[in-house]
Parts: sequence; structure tokens; C-alpha cells
Amino acid sequence: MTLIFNRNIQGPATYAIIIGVGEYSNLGEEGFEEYDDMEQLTSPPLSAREFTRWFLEEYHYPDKPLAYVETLVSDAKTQNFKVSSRKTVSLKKANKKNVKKSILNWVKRGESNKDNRLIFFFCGHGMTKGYETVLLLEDFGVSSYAPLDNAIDFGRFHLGMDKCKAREQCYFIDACRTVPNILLTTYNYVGDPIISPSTYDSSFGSRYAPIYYSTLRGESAYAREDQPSIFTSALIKSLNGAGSEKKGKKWELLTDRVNFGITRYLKWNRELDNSLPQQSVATDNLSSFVFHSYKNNPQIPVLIGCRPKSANSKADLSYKNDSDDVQRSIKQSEDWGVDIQTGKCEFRAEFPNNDYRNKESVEYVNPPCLTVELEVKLN
Amino acid sequence: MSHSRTRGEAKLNSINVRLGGFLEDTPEVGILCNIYNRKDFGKGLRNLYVPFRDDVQVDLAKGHYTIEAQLPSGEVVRQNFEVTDSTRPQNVEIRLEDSPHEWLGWQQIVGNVEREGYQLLLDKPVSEVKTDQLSISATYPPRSRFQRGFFFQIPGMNKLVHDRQLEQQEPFKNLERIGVEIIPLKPDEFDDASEVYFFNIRRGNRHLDYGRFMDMLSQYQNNTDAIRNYLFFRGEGIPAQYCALPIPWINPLTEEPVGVEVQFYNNPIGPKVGDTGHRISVVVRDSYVGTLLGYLGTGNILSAAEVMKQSRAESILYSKRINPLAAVVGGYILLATQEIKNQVWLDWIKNLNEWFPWIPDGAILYAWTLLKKKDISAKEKREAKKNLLMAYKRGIPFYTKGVKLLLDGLRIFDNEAKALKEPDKVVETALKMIWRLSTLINVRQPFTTVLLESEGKKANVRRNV
Repeated sequence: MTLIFNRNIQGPATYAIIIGVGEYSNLGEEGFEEYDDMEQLTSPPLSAREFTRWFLEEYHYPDKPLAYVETLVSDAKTQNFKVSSRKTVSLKKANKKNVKKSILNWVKRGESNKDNRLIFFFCGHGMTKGYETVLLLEDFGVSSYAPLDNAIDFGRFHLGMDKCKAREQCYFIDACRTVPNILLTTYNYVGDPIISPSTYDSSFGSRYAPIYYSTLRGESAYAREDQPSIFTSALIKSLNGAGSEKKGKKWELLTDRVNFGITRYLKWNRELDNSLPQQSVATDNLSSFVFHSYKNNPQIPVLIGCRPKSANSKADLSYKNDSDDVQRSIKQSEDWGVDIQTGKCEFRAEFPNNDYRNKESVEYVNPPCLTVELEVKLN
Repeated sequence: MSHSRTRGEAKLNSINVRLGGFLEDTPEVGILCNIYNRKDFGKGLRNLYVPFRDDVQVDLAKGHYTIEAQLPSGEVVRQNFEVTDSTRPQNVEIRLEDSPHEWLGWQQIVGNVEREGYQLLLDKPVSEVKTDQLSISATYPPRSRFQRGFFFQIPGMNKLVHDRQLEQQEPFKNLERIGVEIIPLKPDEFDDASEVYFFNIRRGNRHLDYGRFMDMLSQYQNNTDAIRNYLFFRGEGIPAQYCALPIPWINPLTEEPVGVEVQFYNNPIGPKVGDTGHRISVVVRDSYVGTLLGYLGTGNILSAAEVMKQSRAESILYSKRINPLAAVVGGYILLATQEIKNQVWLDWIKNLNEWFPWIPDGAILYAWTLLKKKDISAKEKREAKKNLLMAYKRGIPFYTKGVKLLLDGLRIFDNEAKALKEPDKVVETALKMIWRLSTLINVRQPFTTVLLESEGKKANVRRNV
């Protein structure tokens, strides 16, 4: 296994397993026709690394501190992951054998305390038919006689995880949920559940196990080549601040706001770049508990631009708040997208060539996202 | 009367919050809103219940605020407003209009239609439903695509679940042989401009008439084998599909029948090769439960529970004798929010199951209240299994949620039996059928709708942009 982070913590803690499958060893260069034109992917290993990094650098919940992060990827380019400036690890491949072993270890750690929190993240190919969701691991498709070997039956897995003592579990599934012909021909078998469902010792109490899907059933999830996926990028934005809430003086992220932050960011981002395909996220089993508490003010996606937009290429755009005074490094015609911490902020458009009159605006930066439009007038 | 008060140092001002825009017949039960102070985001109000037909009065200090309304569809409407120090009440109206069609506002609220993304098929309103005559208005895709539609009823046990021809294109060939009455849908009206069909269910020249509606209601409540009703459609490029009709649906306060609408919406993300994306959507114009169904349909159980608690809906759902199908909605919400712990609710679910043996969902709910009990006994486990199998025998669940819970419950017992090396053939058989059903349903709809044909291949779009 590839343990990125491991700390012995007495009492409740957080345990994460993160999987990103980009390279599928049984898909040829032209893809398998019977697998409905599935291709090799570049973004899942990057998405898995991004999510891992967020946990290592940002995750903060003192009641259940981070104790364990294991990451597995299948990446055609490299298996390495730069954990810090001084440490690079080689990640294990996300094939069935490794993933199953890692999941069982992760579950075992979760069993240590019913107040533990378990995090599961998967990015790669996925399939859906009705209520069935199948997650494809690296060595999926090794035999056409048993096409769904080396896949995870996610529905049964999620159901089976009620047997684990840990009562808080969060599942992030960043995968297409299209309906391939394979699922139409298999019969009541859609992969290995890893943890089979059965009745359990209900003295543990109620389980809170929300699932966050990157897309609606029957639809595709998208990514730009060699970049983290659209969903993972939006998820990170939500975790960093777009989904945050303030309770008294403290900023927190509740599980029922995670999706809100993702959805609002996706919609806002699409207004910025309408070449992005429409992707609607979905949740299941939603419940509300604090997922993350912010040590510093949350970072909110902000878009700054002049109106009319044609003034952008002539403007020095900048913003200033209690902690930062930042100017955009180059002039360009597009609006300027930045992450700014919550609070009062002054936005400026200055025109060194006096094409337009300078403009200032003071706004309060709050979740989920903010668009600042500076109405400028010709000189 | 002064409309400002003080709390500590801050002077509070009286604000009337209301929902504005559109509907001629708005739901009785409203939606949840959050109010944030833009200068200090932690201040404001959370989970404020705002009814559609009334104002809600809140007290806010002077400042700049954002109000965020969470529609059952999942859409969020945000609006900024300012509060000034004043002795007079100030009004804040959240505009929920911009529905693509004003008369589709209800559908928009409950989540069947979004403001963006859906291709709308219709330009004119759907006619009112006359459930006393079982005239069901069903709008349908353009005339050129319509091939076949019919209404059918099955008394008592739903043999469809056992019909091995479920997945074939004409699964209903055998239905008449087993005594199922099929009534072809011949559109009474067709509007060329908007290409909308209006159907009335007829037997011969007469409207299908159950007689006085309250007689039908009485029959349903007296535990006799009630009739299950379905609609089936197929068209060119439109997969064969059918839906379980939630009728009779009765407003528990007025005891009047409530309209059930069946529409076709177009999948917002498409197209697919060989599939235009048209899907059945069933909406009940129930002013109390409509909003809850919307939240349930989009998976927003938490908001559904909050609305249920703060509105009159909770007490109405208690009145299961009037509308057990509505009571089931309450049961699903309680189960999902794990509120179903106290004995009052457990007994309520048990009664819902026993009094209405024609509703599979009641048995499913009861089984899961047992499964979720702390320290479940062996006897209670057996009872849970028995009720899951009873649900299977009762037929297709009315709600999509019910199909999922039935599938999960049967899986648990099937796995356990296999782990003990004592396979349970009865559970296995039931699981096979329910699994097959679960792969065919449209999980985006709150009421069970079943696709009988492949959803078609995705049009050639690269997944990596």
C-alpha cells in the first residue's frame, strides 16, 4: 500500500483512501469496442493527487484529526507523487489486488472507534444502470467472459460499509455514469462489493454516509487533458471556501454545503468559460455534519472585470484587503479569476493610458463565489 | 405599533419576507431560505421557512444582506437587499419567476423542470385533471413521434413484477391473457401549434368512471384489493416506458381529489443516438406534499425534513387514512433523516403498512424501521425480512426510493443467507426481479417510472474535453 500519511491518534480520527485510475491495462490504443469506446484517461491520477494534497495541507477538524491517507493511482506517465519539497513517494497501482487490500486496511482502521470518520475518493471510469454504479479499476476487462471482474460494485460496497463501526463516512465518486451495453447483459453482478452487505450490530447507532457524484446518472463527467477533472477542481474550490459557512466567528464546511459549493462554482465557472460542457453533480444519502473547519478565512473564487469587457485589455486590475494587495500581472481581454479570502475587499481598475476613468469598488467577499463588475466610463 | 426593537446594541427592524412571481395555484407548503449578512457572514438566519402564500416576518439589524432560496429542484436563487433603520416594516420579495413557461412554475418548483437546460416541448398549459372521471392529461412529444400509448390497470397483485417479458418491446402482449385491462390512449385533442396531446381515458364512448370519487376512496381505505393504475408510452426515438400512477391522490385537508399530471420532459444533457431523451414525469399538484416530493426527488432530504417540521405538512402526513401515498412520503423523509426512533413514529409506520396492503412502500418502510433499530432482535430481523418479501408481492413500489430500499433490504438478507451457506430461494427470487426492475427505473423521478428499452448510446462526445 502507499501510505502517504500515517499517525497514531488516540480517540476519533479521519482515515482517507484516494484512488485515481487513468491507465487501464486492458484497453488497447484504439479502445475496446465492446466497452463502448472507453479510452485511457489523463486526469484521474492528477485529480487523486490534488485531493490528497488538499487533505495533507488543508484538512482541519480537530475533533477527528487526520490520521491516515492512502493513495493509489494508475498513471501512464509516472507513479510518483511529490508529497513535499523533500519527499517523493512512488504510489501503488490501482489494480484490484492493491485496491482491495487497501480498502480492507482502511476499514480496519475505521473500526477502532465508532466516532471515526472515513473518506473514500475514486476518480476514473464508471458505469451506471438504474441504481447500480460500477467503478472500474486498472485491470478491468482482463477477460471478455467476465467483463466486470476487477470492478467495484459501489452500491453494495456503500451498503456493506454500514458494518464498519465508523459512523461518519464520506464518498466522492468522480466518474462517468453512462450506461454501457455491458451492464445490460450482466445479471445481478456488477463487480466486487469488497464489503458485502448484511445486517449488522446496530448498537453502533445511525450512520451518516453522504455520497457526492460528479455527474447525474446516465451522464458523463469531463476533464481537460492533463488537468484534474472539472468535478475535482470544483470540489477543491468548495472545500477551500465556496461551500463554507460562518457560525459565530468560526468558518466551517458542512457536508450538506459541499455540493452547494461545487454546483455554484461549476455554474459560475461556466459563465466564465462557456466552452466547458454542462455537468450537473448529484448527491445521495445527504446528511449534515461539520466536515472541515478553517484555520484561516476561507478562499472564495472571485471574478473581476471591467464593463464594458473591451476595457479589460487596457486596465490594471487589482484588489486589496487586510492581508493582500495584488495586481494582475498582465493585461488581457478576459476577466480575472482569483481566490480571495472572505471579508472586505477593495477592487480597482486603473488605466495608465487614460483610455477610461479609474474605477474602484468595495465589496464583501463571501461564499460561494463573487463576480465584481467595474463599470468604467470613457475619458 | 413600533416595528423596530433592540437586542443588545443593535436595533432590529421588522422585515416581511415573501416569495414572488408566477403561479396561479401555488403550493401551500413553501421552501427554505437562508439570510446572510454580507459584512458578517455568520449573522443572519438559517433554514428560514417561507411559505408560498404568506409573508414571514423576521427581525434584522441595519445592513446589507443576501437571501438564498433553495428550491426543491436543487436550484438556488440569490438576491441582495438592504435593511435600513425604520419604524415601518420593510418588504423583501424573492423573485422566483423566470420559469420558462408561467404555467410550468409548479413543475419548476418541485424539480421536474429547470429554468435552464431543459428543452421544453410545450407552449400551452396542460389541462386540468379530472380524476373523478380518470381523465388524465398527458402531454406528449410531437405527433410524428407518437406510436403507442395506453392506460392499464391491474387489480391486486402486480403481475408485472413476475412477467418475464418485462424487458421485451411489447411486454404487454401477455397482460390481457392474465386479465389485465388495457385501454388504448387515443388523443382527444391535438393542438397543431404546440403539438400537445390531451388524453382522456375512455372505455368505448364513455369516460372511465369509477363512480363517485369518495366511493373509490372508501374502497381504498377499507383494505380491499385496490387497483393499480399505469400509463405506457412509446414513440419514434423514444424508449418504451411506463409509470405507476399515484391515484387516487387526495388533499388531506379538503378531502378533494388532486390533479395528477403526466408530462414528457427532455433530458437536459443529451442528445443520445437513437434516443431523443424524452422521459415521463409524474407530478401531483398537492399543495402540501408537492414541495416535499420535489426535495425528495432531488435527494435533498434534509431540506424536506426541515420543511416538513416547520410547515403544516407534518401533521397532514399523520392523516394517513385520507392519503396514505402522501403519508409514505413523510415516512421516507423520517427514515432518511434517522428521525424514526421514537415509538410514536414506529407505530405510525406499522399502521401505515397494515392498513394499506396495496401499497408496497408501506411494507418497505416498516422493514427498514426495524433494520435501523438499535439492538435489533432476531425476531425483528425475521419480521423485517417478512415485510420486504411482502412488499415484493404487493407489486411495484409507487416511489423510486421504495425500489432502492427494497433492493438494498433484499440484498442484505441474500448476502447473509449465502454467508451462512443457507441460501434463501425466496429471497433470491425476489432479489432477481427487483434487481432487474431497479436497472430499468428512472432514478431522477420521485414516482416509479420504468424504461423498457435501452437508453441509447451516447452521441459521439469525447470525455476528455
